[in-house]
This record gives sequence, C-alpha cells and structure tokens, in this order.
Amino acid sequence: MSQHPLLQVNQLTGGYSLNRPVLHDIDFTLYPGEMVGLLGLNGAGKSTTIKHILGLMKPHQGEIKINNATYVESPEQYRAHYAFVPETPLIFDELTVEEHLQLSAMAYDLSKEDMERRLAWLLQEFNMKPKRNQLASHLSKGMRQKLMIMSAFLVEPKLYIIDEPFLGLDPLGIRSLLDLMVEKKKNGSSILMSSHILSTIEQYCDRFVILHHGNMIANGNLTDLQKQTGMSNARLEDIFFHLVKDEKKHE
Amino acid sequence: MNRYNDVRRQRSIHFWKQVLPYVKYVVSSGFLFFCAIFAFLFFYYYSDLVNHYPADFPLALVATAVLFPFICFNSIRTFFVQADIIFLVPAESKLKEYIQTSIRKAFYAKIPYIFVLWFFIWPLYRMSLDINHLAMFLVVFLFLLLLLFFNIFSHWQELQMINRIVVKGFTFLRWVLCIASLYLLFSIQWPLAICISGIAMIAYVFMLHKADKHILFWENLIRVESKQRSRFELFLNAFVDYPRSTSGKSNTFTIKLKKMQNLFPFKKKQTFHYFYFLMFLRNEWFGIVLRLNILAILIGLLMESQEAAMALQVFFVYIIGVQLSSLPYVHRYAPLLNLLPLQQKMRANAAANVAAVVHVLSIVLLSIPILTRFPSYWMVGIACVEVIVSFIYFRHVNTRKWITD
Repeated sequence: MSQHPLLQVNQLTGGYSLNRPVLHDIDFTLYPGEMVGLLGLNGAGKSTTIKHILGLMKPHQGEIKINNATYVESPEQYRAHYAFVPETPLIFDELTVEEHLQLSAMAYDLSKEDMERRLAWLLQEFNMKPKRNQLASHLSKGMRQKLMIMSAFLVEPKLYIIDEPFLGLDPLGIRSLLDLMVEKKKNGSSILMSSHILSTIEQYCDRFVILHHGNMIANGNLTDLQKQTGMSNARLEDIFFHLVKDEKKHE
Repeated sequence: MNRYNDVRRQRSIHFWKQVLPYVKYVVSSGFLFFCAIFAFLFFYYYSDLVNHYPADFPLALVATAVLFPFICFNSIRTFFVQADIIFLVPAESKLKEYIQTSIRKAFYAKIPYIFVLWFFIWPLYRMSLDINHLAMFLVVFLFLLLLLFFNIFSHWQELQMINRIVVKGFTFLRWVLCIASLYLLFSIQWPLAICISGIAMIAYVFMLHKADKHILFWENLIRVESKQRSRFELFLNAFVDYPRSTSGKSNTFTIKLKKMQNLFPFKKKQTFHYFYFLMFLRNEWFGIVLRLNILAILIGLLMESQEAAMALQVFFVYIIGVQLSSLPYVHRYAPLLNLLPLQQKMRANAAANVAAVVHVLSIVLLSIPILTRFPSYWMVGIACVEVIVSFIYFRHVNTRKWITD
C-alpha cells in the first residue's frame, strides 16, 4: 500500500495496571479502504486494544495514531476521525432513537439536512422507522445494537471500530451491516472489526490480526497466515485454532 | 433464620453501608439549616393556631391532607435485582419470610411519621371535640396504624397484579377509601367512622383476592425496586456526587415536546446543552421543579404577610437550586459521552447553563405572584440577587466542583 496508514498501532504495551500490562508490543496498521479483523479468544486483549485505540486508556509504551495524530496531541480531532460500535450497546435510557442520532450528528458537526437524509436512509435500512421516537429503554437488545450501528454510520467517519457487531442482530440486520461495511470500504473508509464469527470475518476482511494472551501472534492476509502456519488452502478457522492451540502448548 | 431472609438482611446492610457515608454531606450541606428554619416557621404558626384555635377551622380537611400522603404512598423495599430472575425465581416458594420482612419493615418505618403527625393533630382534634382522654389518643392512633398496614398490604397485592388498568383502578379505589376514612374519622363520631372504614377495608381486601395476580410479579418488583433506589440516589445526588445505579423512569410525555428541543441550534458546540436539556426533561428534575413551583405559588397565594411570602420564595428558590445542582452529575461517567469528539470541559459548562437557566426561570416564576400581591422594590431586589447568586453558583462553583471531583 502506497497510501499513508489511517490507523497506526506502534509497539503498544498497555493495560489497566502499570505493573501488569495486558498487551505486549502490539503492532499493526490499517490503510484507507481496508477491513481488518481483530481476532482472539476471550481475554486475549481485543477489547483492551480497542480501548487504547479509542483513547480511553493510556499506553504504557508505544503510540497510536489516527490520521497521523495522537490522542494526546488533540483528543477532539483524534476522536472526530473514528466512530465506535461497542459490543454492549452504550445508550441513554432517557433518549429516543432519533435523539441519540441527533446527539451524534451534532457532536460530529453534521448539518441538519445531512443528518435527516442519512437518518431516513438508516432507519429504513435497519427496519427501525417505527422505533424512531421510542425511548432506548424500550428497545430490544438487537435494536439497541442497531442504534449503535446507525449512530456510527450516520457520521461517516474515516475509521470504523466495530466490536462484536453481530451479537443480538437478526439476519436482516447482519446483512444490512455487512453491506454497509462493504460500501464504506469502497468509499475509502477503514474498518477494524473484532468478532468470533470467523467465517464472516474471513469472507469480508482483507487482513487479520490475531491476539493471544495480549501478544500479537499473527498479522496478515489469509495467504500470509497459511504460509506462517504451513497450512496451505486452510480456512481462517483452522489456522486460528492451530495458532492458539500451538501457543497453548508453549505456555 | 431462613437463608433467604438472610439474603435480604445482607442486601439491606449493603445498601445502607453504601448510603450512610454520604449522609454527612447532606448534613453539612446547609440543608438541615433550612429544615430548621422551616421547622421554626412551622412551630411559630402551629403554636399560634393552638393558642387561637378558630371555631371554623377545617380540621377534617387539613388532617386528611396531611395524613393521606404518609399513609397511602409507601415503598416496600425488596432489594430485588435483575439477576434474581436467575437466582431467586427458582426459590420463589421459599421467599415467604423474605417478603413478610419487606412488608413489616415498610410498616415499621412509617410508624414514627404517623405518630409525630398524630401528635401534632391531636391537640386540634381534642379542641374540636372538647375531649381529653389518653385512651382516645391511642384508639385513633391504632386506627391510623391499621389504615397504614391496610395500605401497605394492599399496595403489595397491587404490585403482583397482571393487568395494569386493573392495578390503576385498585390504587385509585384505595386512595379514595383512605381519603374517605380519614375525612370521616375527623368529621363524624369516631366509632361510626371506624366501623364504616373497617367494612370498606374488608370489602376491598375481598376484591383484592379475586383479582388476577402473579405469586410474585418479578419484573414489576425489580422495576419498582430500581425506581425506589433511583429516588434515593436522586436525593443524595442533590448534595453529593453519589454514584447512580439506574437512570430511573423517564418522563415519556416529554418526547412530545419536540418543539422545545428546537430551542437549541443544530451546532456542534450545542451538543451537550441539547443532551442536558433532555436529561432535565426526561429524569426526575422536570417533575420536581414543576411540583415545587406549583406548590410555592399556591402557598404564596395564601400568605398574608409580605415577609412570610418573601421567606417562602427564598426557601423554594433554594430547594429548587439544590435539586438542580445534581443535574451535571447525570451520566457523569457514561463512556458514550467521553467518546464524542468534544472538549469534556464543555460538558460541565453546558450542564451548568441548563441548570442556571431553569433556576432563573423558576426565580422569575416564583416572584411574579408575590410581586402582584405585594409590589415592592425589596422583592425585585431579592429576585435580582437570587438570579446573580444562581448564575455565579452554577457557572463557577458547581462547574469547578464537577471538574475537580
């Protein structure tokens, strides 16, 4: 890739306590128009990595840059470049679907016209039109997740950080999300997605970053991973199991 | 002790352990000072009333109005949480003692209030009937306790009912029964009043047993418990940054007030103003401020002296200010707000602005009826000082506290 990377995670060591880092020397990049899958078992460090990228945690060592800016230099500008879809919906029970979306639109400096145009389309796409004026507390789990997805896609950032997006979504919702991700990718946005559904990840992502016990044990496209493991023609799922099982033996 | 009752006891201890450390902030906040002023004013007017008891004093009406909320509105703390759907539902049949304790505690908690109220009503009642028997004091007090227990027991049964419309019907009927019982007690001969009320209560309980009910309506009980906890947290939040576990029930009717939301320009720098205005509308603040304003205006209209009206206005302005000072703390640690590409300092300023504007509107609203009745430069001066103090407090003191906390 000759383009400048959109997300750079350089030699990241981090975690909740300085004495006990959870992540060790994580190093990967994400280019415009790329979709990268962040994989790992429970407790591998995926969510901690994402929290560092979001600027919610401070790296012990290394640095993270989005569009060549670090969080410390300019938190506001740094955050304006990404939108986040969390694993567990982060919503305000007191706000309606539309109010959540308006809050995001205002924070990301969208015009009212742009918001209304995109909002109408997203409500239609995710079958949420009848829920437009309903309080978030009255939504089902899947609808809450849709609300999070809509908030992220409404603001059309350069980078989407998506953590376990398929949890609770109905098949139509999953399809809409995947279609939307492909469309955004074509338009030059980047997507960092964490998920346990390896078949979908394999089908949609260009590259894969595999974490295990806070270490990055693989980074590359499917061919790279096949070469690394010596498993030609193997599927991502088999490679993943091979890698984490192999690491387990070394422990 | 039943092991499930022990669970309840542990939960109760845990709750109070969480709450008690914050009580000192309530005490040191100056709220007690205002309560003392309020008590002083009460004793002043009360002793005046006892010394110059008018023959036409509407005792039945006043006693009913004073006792009704304390007897009818009860909170039965079950300490049920969402996880109980998994852990306690399977043991539903073994929770009899757990529930009995909850009902009993709700009853015991109210006895001191009823005693104090009756203690103050008694001299007026005695004068209106021209009697003075201690036995009479006790009989009526016991009847009031019976009425209280009837309300708590019935409220518990209503909580288990399946149909919400039926619940509303029963609650309304219970309130009517309670108002009628109290009014009769203070307006006709007490043995007759007690007999009529007793028959009505028995009929009500009979009807309660006929209504469709769950053994325990878990979802409803968990929701009600969360609401009760939320009310408590809101009270503490008015004095100190108390971590809230729930956001309580939202005022859904304010969703219809869409045009009010257009008060804010669709601009990035207005994002937090928009957010805190919605939080004000949807949470308890809107209802509290509205009720306090209405109450202050109504009491203000009854005031005979300008000084008393001014004191009342200052008191209510203070109370509304105390309530609004907790607005900036709503969703203080919400990750979603931290992730927005906005300066976090803007949050404190926006919350302070919304609180200050609401407070100033209340000051104006509370000053109008007093100025209409007692036009004076003094009142205008007091209102102006209140506006200045409000802005200084919310824009500087409260904002700085939010940032440094």
